Amino acid sequence: MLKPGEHKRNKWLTPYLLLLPWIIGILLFRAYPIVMSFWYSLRDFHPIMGDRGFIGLNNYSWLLFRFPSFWRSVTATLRYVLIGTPMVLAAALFIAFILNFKLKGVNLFRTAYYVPSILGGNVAVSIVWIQLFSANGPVNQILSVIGLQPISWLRSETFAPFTLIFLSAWQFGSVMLIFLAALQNVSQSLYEAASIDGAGKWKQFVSITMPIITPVILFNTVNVLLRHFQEFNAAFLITNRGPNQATDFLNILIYEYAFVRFQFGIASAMTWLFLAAIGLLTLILFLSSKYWVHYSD
Amino acid sequence: MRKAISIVGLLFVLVLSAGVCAASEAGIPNNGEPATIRISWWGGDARHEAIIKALDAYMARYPNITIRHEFGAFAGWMDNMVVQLAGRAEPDIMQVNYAWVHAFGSGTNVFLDLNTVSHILALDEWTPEMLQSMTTADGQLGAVPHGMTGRVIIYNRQMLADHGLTAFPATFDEWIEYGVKVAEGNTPLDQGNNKYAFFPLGPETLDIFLLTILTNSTGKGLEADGKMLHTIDEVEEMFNIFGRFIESNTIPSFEQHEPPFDATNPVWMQGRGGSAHEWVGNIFLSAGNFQENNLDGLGIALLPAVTPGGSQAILQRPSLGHAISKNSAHPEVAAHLLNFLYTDEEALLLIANQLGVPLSRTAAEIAEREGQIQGLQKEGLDLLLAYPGDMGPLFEDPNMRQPRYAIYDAFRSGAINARTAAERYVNEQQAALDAMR
Amino acid sequence: MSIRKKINAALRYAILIAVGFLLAYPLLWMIGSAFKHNIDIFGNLAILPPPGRGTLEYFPAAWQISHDHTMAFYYVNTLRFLIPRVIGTVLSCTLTAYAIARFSFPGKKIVFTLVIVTLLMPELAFRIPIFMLYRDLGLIDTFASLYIQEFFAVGSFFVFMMIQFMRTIPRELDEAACIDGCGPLRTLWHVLIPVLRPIIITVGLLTFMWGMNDFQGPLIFLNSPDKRVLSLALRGLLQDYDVTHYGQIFAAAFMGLIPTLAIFFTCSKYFVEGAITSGGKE
Repeated sequence: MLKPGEHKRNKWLTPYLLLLPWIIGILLFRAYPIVMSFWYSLRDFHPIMGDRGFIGLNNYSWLLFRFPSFWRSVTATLRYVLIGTPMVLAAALFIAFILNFKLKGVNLFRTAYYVPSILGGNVAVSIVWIQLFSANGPVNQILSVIGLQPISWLRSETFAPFTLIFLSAWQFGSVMLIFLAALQNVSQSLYEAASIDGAGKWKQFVSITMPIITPVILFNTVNVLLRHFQEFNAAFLITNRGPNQATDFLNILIYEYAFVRFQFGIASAMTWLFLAAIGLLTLILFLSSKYWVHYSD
Repeated sequence: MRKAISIVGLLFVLVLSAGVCAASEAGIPNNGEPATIRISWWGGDARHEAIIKALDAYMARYPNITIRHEFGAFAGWMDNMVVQLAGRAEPDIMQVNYAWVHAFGSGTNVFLDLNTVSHILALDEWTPEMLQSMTTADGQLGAVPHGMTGRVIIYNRQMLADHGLTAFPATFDEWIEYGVKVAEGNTPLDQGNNKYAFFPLGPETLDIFLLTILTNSTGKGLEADGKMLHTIDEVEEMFNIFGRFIESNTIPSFEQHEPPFDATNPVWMQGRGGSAHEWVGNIFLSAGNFQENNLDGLGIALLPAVTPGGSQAILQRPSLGHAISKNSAHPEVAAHLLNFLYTDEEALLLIANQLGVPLSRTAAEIAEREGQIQGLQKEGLDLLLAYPGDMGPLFEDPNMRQPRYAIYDAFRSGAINARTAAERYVNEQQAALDAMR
Repeated sequence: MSIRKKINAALRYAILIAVGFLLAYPLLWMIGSAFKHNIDIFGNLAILPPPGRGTLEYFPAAWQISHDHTMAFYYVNTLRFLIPRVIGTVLSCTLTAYAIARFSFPGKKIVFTLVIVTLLMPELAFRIPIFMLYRDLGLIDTFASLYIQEFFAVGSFFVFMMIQFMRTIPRELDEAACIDGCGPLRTLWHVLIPVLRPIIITVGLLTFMWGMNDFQGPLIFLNSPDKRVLSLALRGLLQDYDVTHYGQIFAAAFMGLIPTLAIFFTCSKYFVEGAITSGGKE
């Protein structure tokens, strides 16, 4: 925080002038759209066919009670988010834990692990993924080497979401780096005390390190959660939203109703329900953080 | 007799085009002032090249007009066009599917009523019935139709021969019998060796295949005046037939059928599919991917008859048409260009059969004279024209189609039985119709 | 004890290498497949084509990625929206972060809260009304539709990242400038920018990388073929040709990735630092 009196010579206007672009931005590109979006959600609005008037909450009630696909999509989204988020976090934390040992070549691994993150939803990666998980693809070939039955990864409602979750986990690099930075900030003296007590590395990690980095865990959880809510390319290109809507995420359903069918009213209503879901989950996270996140100061 | 008609027709057209030139000085578009026209279409490589040549010919003749073109494959084309329409950034001339004319028609038509440019675009090239197919409920002519198209079977000759058949099966029973033989040794998951007598490339193929069964076995179209025409029992029968194809492994099971859901699927590319069911007009899109363009390995047949002794099922509809944007800055130039593409001999010779079999008078005359339409394509056309089996434009409406796709998947994966599928089908299709008003 | 330590170290390396291989395999397989014919791609684990069957024939075809244009055209198109986007993001986010991190003013708490709230909201929530807005402004199918808003600090993630970074810079720096009589903009320019260089580069690079992968934005806002960007052209490759050669697709994807990978490996330290800053201490 600034101490009062600093920048005394600057007029009170200065910060607001500096903020001018942001103020315009938040009004024009955030506040206005969100208000309009609510307005559209109450109308039968189609940008090609025109505005067919105010219909109250009809779009919402149609979605909730007359459109089973919406609920299948909600289920698919929640399953993906709630399974995918912990998996990515666990993978990232585990690798960060290993990289935190003083090993030679850590920098090399650190950089290499980051590469999948920048490729993100590249179209070519999607094609590779289809090949990897096809019935006779590498993944099933490895399973058969271990003596397991092949799995219908892309066409089974149970497993198809996992092909996408694995793709997301493949991109754990950026999350891992944030964990690693946090781990490296944990003071060595804490460990030394614990070593004397004879605690093993893993036990040290769980009992000493984890509590200290809980703020970073919260940060990453929110980040990864949001990323999963916004998954688009992979479900679009790899599983084609199927099988049986098992990967028909809300983000895609909204896109379809907005920019394929141009039913802006319904799409806007869906957007608001989507925002409500995200808001609710983040709120739960932040409220619960009181109990598990430890701030050092 | 036929020849006589052709000659009379040709003379008539010559007189007519001379008349048009004389009447309005329309020979020079935009009074010689510069103008830029955008035109878009979907199709395959050969179509792209042919149309571009025709457009170049137009620009050579009318140097004041600049034409910018946009094209791509059919997959995703409607999505792209709808985004353009919504953003009011659409081209002046659009190749359209006739379903779209109706989907964006009726009071809120986004396409120019072509009757308003009939002084430039010679509408008497088409019969009133043909124009009617592109006329929306409120009487606007949304597009001019190019021709008719239908779905035919393309089959793998080698696979047929391997199983001792000399001709593609003519009934579903024979087809399934063939399917059982082909599927011998298939594994529950496709490990790269499975074979199927019928490989519906994607959900659209499956949908049209099933609808063809439904409309042909009942003799009824999809809907009339916003009411579903098929009963639950009739739809259940369709799912039972679908079930026979799945159980016999004539088509891949849900789990055996992996993405990608188009002609780039390895099963099709490697020649492990015995047949596909495709539009006759775009047949090369799927044929090109078959064993790296092994066209000689493919034959063309009609869809087998659902019941022994029944007729072979056909779905036909207007193939495509051309519309002018309501927002076009130069609707008359656009109409002039369209008129060129549909009536000018040079253009028609360049386009040849790349848009399919033309039905408008001049184009049909030239196609006949030049022998552009031959063999299977000609046979196919005659068969198509003999059938009235039009399901109506709504079968391709995405709001109708999406629920059907979901039900097919649920049934094929075994999540629901034929009865439940039929009930859901009738209910959800009616709900979609209701939502459209 | 020392043996145990060695075993532990070996185990850790084994895990790291195994994970590294898992991560690299899909990428290597993709690159290797650019040199294969279809027949050698399906159901084949090998990264390299079978001996004697490798081919370079798909690279020229991949370079000529669409009927009318080579890949260079789509690189340039991508840059036509990415360069302004990077500039806009860097400028507006720096100003915003500077105001929030270095000044106290009434409403600051609200501003910071709004930055966080918009950080949590998916872009899709704003797309529909912005589409209508751009349509009324005639911006549909222009590159501007993909960067205008970035000039107004809508990238809350980057604003947040820069605030975190500025908080690590000792305030004495700008106070010294203050005493010398520098105004706020001159302080920012002469004193802070040199110190902020790493984070500015990080923000620029991340904007660039994410922009390269942006698929949904161009899909909605650009639709004429001469405005297609690389991500759309790559997808078009899957759709626009009668005959699909996967080798060609992978070759195109590989060439499409080269700039991204090259930038990443030359600037990897900025990415790593950026990721670390965003997690920050707070």
